Amino acid sequence: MNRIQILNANLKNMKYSLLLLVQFIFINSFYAQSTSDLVKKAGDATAYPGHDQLIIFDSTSVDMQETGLTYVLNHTLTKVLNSHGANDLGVVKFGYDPLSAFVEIKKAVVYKSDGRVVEINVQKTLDYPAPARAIYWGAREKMLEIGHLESGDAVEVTMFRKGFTYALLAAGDDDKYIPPMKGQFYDIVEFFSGYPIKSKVYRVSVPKDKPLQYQFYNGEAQSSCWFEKDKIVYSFSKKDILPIKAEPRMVAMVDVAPKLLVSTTGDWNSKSTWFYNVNEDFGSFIADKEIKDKVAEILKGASSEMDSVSRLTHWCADEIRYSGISMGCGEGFTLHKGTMTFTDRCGVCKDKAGMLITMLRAAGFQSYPAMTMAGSRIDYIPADQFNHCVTIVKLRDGKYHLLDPTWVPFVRELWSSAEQQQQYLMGVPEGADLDTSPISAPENHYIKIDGIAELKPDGTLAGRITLAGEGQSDASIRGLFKFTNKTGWYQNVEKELLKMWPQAKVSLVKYSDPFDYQNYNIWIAIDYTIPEFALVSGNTMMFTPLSAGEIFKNFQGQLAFETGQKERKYAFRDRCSRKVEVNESIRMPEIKKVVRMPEAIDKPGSAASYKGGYSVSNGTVIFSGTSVFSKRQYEAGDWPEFRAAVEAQNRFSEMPVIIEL
Amino acid sequence: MRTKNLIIFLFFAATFISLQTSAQDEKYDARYVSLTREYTLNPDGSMDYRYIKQQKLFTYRAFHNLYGETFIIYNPSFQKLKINEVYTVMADGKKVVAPENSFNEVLPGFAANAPAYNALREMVITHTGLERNATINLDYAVHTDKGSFPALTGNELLAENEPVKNLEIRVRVPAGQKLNFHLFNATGEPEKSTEEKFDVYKWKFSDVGAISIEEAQQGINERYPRLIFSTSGNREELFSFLTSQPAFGFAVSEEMKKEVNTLISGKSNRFDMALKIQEMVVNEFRYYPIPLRAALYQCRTSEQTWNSGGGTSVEKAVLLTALLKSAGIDACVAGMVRTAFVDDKVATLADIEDFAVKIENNDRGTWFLSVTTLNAVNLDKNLPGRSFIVLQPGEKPAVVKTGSPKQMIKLIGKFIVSSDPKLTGELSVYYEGGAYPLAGLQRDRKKMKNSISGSLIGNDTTNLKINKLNNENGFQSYIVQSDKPFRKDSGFYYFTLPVSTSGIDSWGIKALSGKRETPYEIPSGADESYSYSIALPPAFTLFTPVKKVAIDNKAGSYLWEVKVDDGKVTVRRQLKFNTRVFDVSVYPDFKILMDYWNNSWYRQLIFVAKN
Repeated sequence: MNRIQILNANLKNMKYSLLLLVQFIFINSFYAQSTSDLVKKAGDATAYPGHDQLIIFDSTSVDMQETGLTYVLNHTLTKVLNSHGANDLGVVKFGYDPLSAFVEIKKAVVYKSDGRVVEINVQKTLDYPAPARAIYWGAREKMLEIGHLESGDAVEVTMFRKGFTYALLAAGDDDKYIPPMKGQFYDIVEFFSGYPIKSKVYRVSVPKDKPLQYQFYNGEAQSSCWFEKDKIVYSFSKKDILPIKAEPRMVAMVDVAPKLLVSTTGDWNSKSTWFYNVNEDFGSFIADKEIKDKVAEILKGASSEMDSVSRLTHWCADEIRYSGISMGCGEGFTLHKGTMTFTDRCGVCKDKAGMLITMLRAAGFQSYPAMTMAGSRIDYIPADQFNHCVTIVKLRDGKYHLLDPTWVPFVRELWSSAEQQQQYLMGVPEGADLDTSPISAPENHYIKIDGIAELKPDGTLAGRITLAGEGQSDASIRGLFKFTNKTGWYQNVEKELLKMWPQAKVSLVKYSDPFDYQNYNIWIAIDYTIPEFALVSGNTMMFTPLSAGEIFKNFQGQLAFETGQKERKYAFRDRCSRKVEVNESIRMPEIKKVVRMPEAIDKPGSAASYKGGYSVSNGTVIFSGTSVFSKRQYEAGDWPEFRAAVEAQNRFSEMPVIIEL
Repeated sequence: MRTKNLIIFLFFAATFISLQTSAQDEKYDARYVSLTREYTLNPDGSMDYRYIKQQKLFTYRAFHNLYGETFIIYNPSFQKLKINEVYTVMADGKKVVAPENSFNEVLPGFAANAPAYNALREMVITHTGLERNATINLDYAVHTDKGSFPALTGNELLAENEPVKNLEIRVRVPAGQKLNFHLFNATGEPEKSTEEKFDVYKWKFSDVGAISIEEAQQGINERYPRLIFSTSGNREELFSFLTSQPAFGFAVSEEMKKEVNTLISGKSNRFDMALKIQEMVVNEFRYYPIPLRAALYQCRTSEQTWNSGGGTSVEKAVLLTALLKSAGIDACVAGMVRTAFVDDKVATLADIEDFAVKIENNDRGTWFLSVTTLNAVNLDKNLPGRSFIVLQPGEKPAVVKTGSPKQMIKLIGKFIVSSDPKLTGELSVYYEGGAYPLAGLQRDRKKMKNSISGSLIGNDTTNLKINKLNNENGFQSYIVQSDKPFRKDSGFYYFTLPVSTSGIDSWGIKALSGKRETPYEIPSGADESYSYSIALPPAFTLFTPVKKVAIDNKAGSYLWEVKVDDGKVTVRRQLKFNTRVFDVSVYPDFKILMDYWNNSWYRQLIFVAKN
């Protein structure tokens, strides 16, 4: 491209930019008053108690080109309601990936509460490499210092952006801003914020031959559509949007709050085949001799199809650490070549997935990548709602099976059940529709607590308590060892008992090899003596068995739920489905009379259940209980069952056994 | 034959040494084969820092979580980074040289919202080819322009989180220039040699043990070997590098003056004025957590900090000082350092951890105010082992040592339980020393009341009957009333004894291991006692056994006493510590005291209601 072409291209950009600016002025002329009036009349901290800022308006105008390239103008006016809000607005920042996007702060004005209007010099905008950890892809930020603000001040910012989040190939000038799925456009527009919004407008114009599919989720917005020369213009607006009051452990806000999805892509099938082709064309999964030799070494002695898949998945999970370095053009959407990842021994989720595909293919398997969204739902409009990449393999049963080398280091699973009920899209040659990962049975993630002990007449308890886990529960318990070096392992285990009974004397701590996870599930045994375990008053003794108390609570996600709330408005989630089985027998001194033995509790349910209680046999008090939590993500309507099961388990920790000797 | 025996001996000796090493290594995630840090003061005043390491990784954690990246902070405006070599030798001996894309420059996270420090950079080196038994090799240097630092100074902790086979610190100064140094917690003199135009000091250590991962160690690595050095022996001269900057003129604009005047209007008490101004600086100005050394010991003026809406610790301290001065309050900036590593003969700025502001008040005396939090207690009362270095332009820096903090808490309650059962009575609270929230009380009159658990006092302000707030201690007495003082379970009533959440419980010491290898440090000396008498209705009897536990050991003392006399239950609960740092030999005694303190049977009373 020569200089004249560059100049023409720049003028073209400027033209679009100016055009959008003019459009914006038009949009904002919707407000009859001047900006200062808007600020003054918007309301203050008394009108919006508990909020730091008020977004008076947030308007976005998008102009899509035939190539999929977009020009975006965003215009906001935000009022400071208190000192927190002032501090947060003291700088404005916009992130971008220079390989695929361009960002410019075009205007920033401060409307002071005393009536002064201060224009900020946007020439002082700082452009710098963004702070980063774990992923080093060259992301950048632009930041403008707004300075010292006070309650009542407001900040108006106009920002222009062109491009896309990811890049595939770059030729020259604006070409690098064309999205990887050329000629296509999508957007995910949140019509919510942590702050109240008085007015939000989103407007997008697309070429007439690329109509948008759209849906507004979790609420309603005013929408309209009209023709404008060779474009179709869609407009969505909503007023007086208040932040949603979050419930503890609820699903992602984006799953319940108002949002708009727009996409020119026809269906998920198109996205699937595009994703397949992107990586095949790039040659992401070609194995060289070194990889083939490593695969042969790993598979030496493999006993079955699943054994082979397991060995390769765990090798990629354990040996390829999570750390992203950039391959340059194409980063973000293209999986690094297997040869690169094998040499680097590091990569992000997509690169770990790519390494596994390369190895599986080298071993003769049919394997492809898949995209998914960890943490929130993928809705059906085919907009890119992905933040994670995994592997699929076709086995002899003719079905594709999910594998996730990123989420299973030192986990006894190939697909992490912490990702059950999660949508995914396979990148396969025949194309695929959006699918959802299956529920994993609670038995696959059991926790077993077993105790045997003797209670002395003076209240001292001596015995052994053991803990074993499987699946995601195994992974959780294994965390006692994974996150410290060996010098801390004993204390980490000992602390599980001492947290409840600080005076306990631990005489033995045993556990299975935390890193031999493929052969053995985790188990822990603690031998202990606890003086004054039972409160002895005269000839009466009061105690709660260890296993009925809160021991090993950290590994039982359900016990971290606050059960005070009777009803829930939104769906909620635990880490994983789970089954907890508790059995403890305590040899007692001679019992004269049982003063109080807590009654058995039976709370049946399909989403969650609990059944447990005490029995006395041959001078031994036996406590047993079973909790079942059937899935990872629950509907709001599941809450009464879930809550009842948790409260039942908690109830036993609050009701001691009382006996007379 | 003798040769053969010697070979056999050497073989076994080598095997033994190797086994020793691997047995030791088994406990750790990695080992530094060698680690060298070299400081050079060039004749032209510029400086060089060189870091060379060879580190063998043993565990997955070593490369998944700990040593996969190296982070180097520098300011390209004044410093140049040169990477000499980075490569990994994999377990099978294959050498993997770090590729070009493994070097990525980012903005340090601590500068994320600080436009004034946007020039700072962090070079992230991603080490490639890592696996168990791989060895990372890294060699880089940072050149610093002349005038960026006041002197060549260092504050070197001579231990790492992993064992170090060979550790070397080299300091190179122009021939003839004096180097002041102090080696703490270790003995030995440096090897001194001459290399061309430099005098070279070398401290060499071998088989350096790893830093223990135990919690509550003394003064954050205070017991480990440390070397401080400086080419300056004149603290006054060195500190003038900071205090001679325009910031220490403490100028304020008209806008700032106006704001201060508005803030303090109607207030006659200067201490209250100071707290109000502190509140503004803490709450209304962002804090940039940029280390002083990374900022090249630069400090913007109070006006610049004001206009930008945020500043570093020293900048906020300068701003607060300037605003206080404009309000006519005697104030100055104070740097905070670890007392254990202060040596007047080794002048350094490298040991300043944080900044505060010292004020002098006729009524309240000398107070140290934080610039990042609204400290309820004078900082000199709850920051053990620190010294405040008071920085006044043109004056010799004065040092104020904090000493060993102490706190006393006494709660006395007289309660009557009716047959409902409801509870009424009186509760008096006495706080002294590090527990006494004098400044907190100026901001919130309910501060002491709210620190008592159990919600017996209620929200009614008329419940406060006596209120004596002195400079060093405070006493308040409340009327208490509770409709539901007990947790009821069948015929049993559980009464959780009210405790102070500002006292020993606030330290969060709940589970003390039976094993300990390093001294255990608590934040403060303490004497905390509770004395309650509870008159019971006729239908109630005490289930908790009448008992006295009195322990007096090397760590301190513990008392639990429950008595019943004529339908009235009295309970006393007290914990006192003789010291703040418990040696390994005293740790078991400390654990005994804390275990009783934390035992739930000794934190409640249980009553039985007769049918």
